[in-house]
Amino acid sequence: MSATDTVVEGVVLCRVGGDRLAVLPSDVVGVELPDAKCPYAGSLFDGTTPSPADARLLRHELSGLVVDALEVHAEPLSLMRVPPALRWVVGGALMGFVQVGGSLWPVVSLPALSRHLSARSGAVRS
Amino acid sequence: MTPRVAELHRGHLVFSCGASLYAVPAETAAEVVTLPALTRVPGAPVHLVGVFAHRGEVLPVVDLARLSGRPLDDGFKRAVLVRSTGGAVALTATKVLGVSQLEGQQERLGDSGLQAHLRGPARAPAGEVAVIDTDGFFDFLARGGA
Repeated sequence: MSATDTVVEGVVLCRVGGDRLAVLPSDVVGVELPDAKCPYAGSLFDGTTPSPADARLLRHELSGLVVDALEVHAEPLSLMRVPPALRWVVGGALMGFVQVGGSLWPVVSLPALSRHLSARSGAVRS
Repeated sequence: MTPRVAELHRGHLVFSCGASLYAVPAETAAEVVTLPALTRVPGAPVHLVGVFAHRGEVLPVVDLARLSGRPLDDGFKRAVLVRSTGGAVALTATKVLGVSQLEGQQERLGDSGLQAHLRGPARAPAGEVAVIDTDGFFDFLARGGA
């Protein structure tokens, strides 16, 4: 762990097709069945359709995000910094990366990501 | 000898990405790495093919062929790790040809996109190369590569 990394007290690990992302538990106010009005995280990885059987909606105060499967990792983790070349992606919602099970997981701010997706879909509609 | 030509005579690491040859000043080329399985980043453009952890740091992997709009090639296994004041990135490399002194010029090869951060025409023993202006290139990536 680098001296400059911050520590997060656990994350929600999300599977999105063959890809991964993670969110902070404090961003999630509930886990529900998918809502067609909420965006699917696969759209961030070129996927368009959630896996129907296990898909869940991560609800937060503003909206929510649909993922294919999730699990909670309750142990503290070092949040590795976002490289400058990636600070602009998903509207700046990328907070860093954690290493779990030998793999890197991108950690996103759920409210910031929802704002980004809403703005993007609004831009597509207009 | 003008300053720009003199810069070419410093050592440059020359590598290929697809059919094109690129060079970076040797002092910015930290190492050549074999790429592990990459983690894709949500919302990243196609030229940012993923990230990996290396010595406690997350490194983005940039594919110059895709950044140039050429056909996708998933066959890359190695990358040149380049460090600059703007951070570090791994540039996919089909083949690493070693450090050479270059001949030729350091004029900007274009006005926009990646071409605005390539210099040349320069020559290495292996052929014509495009020299990456690392500081400008890193700034270009930090602005989204557009």
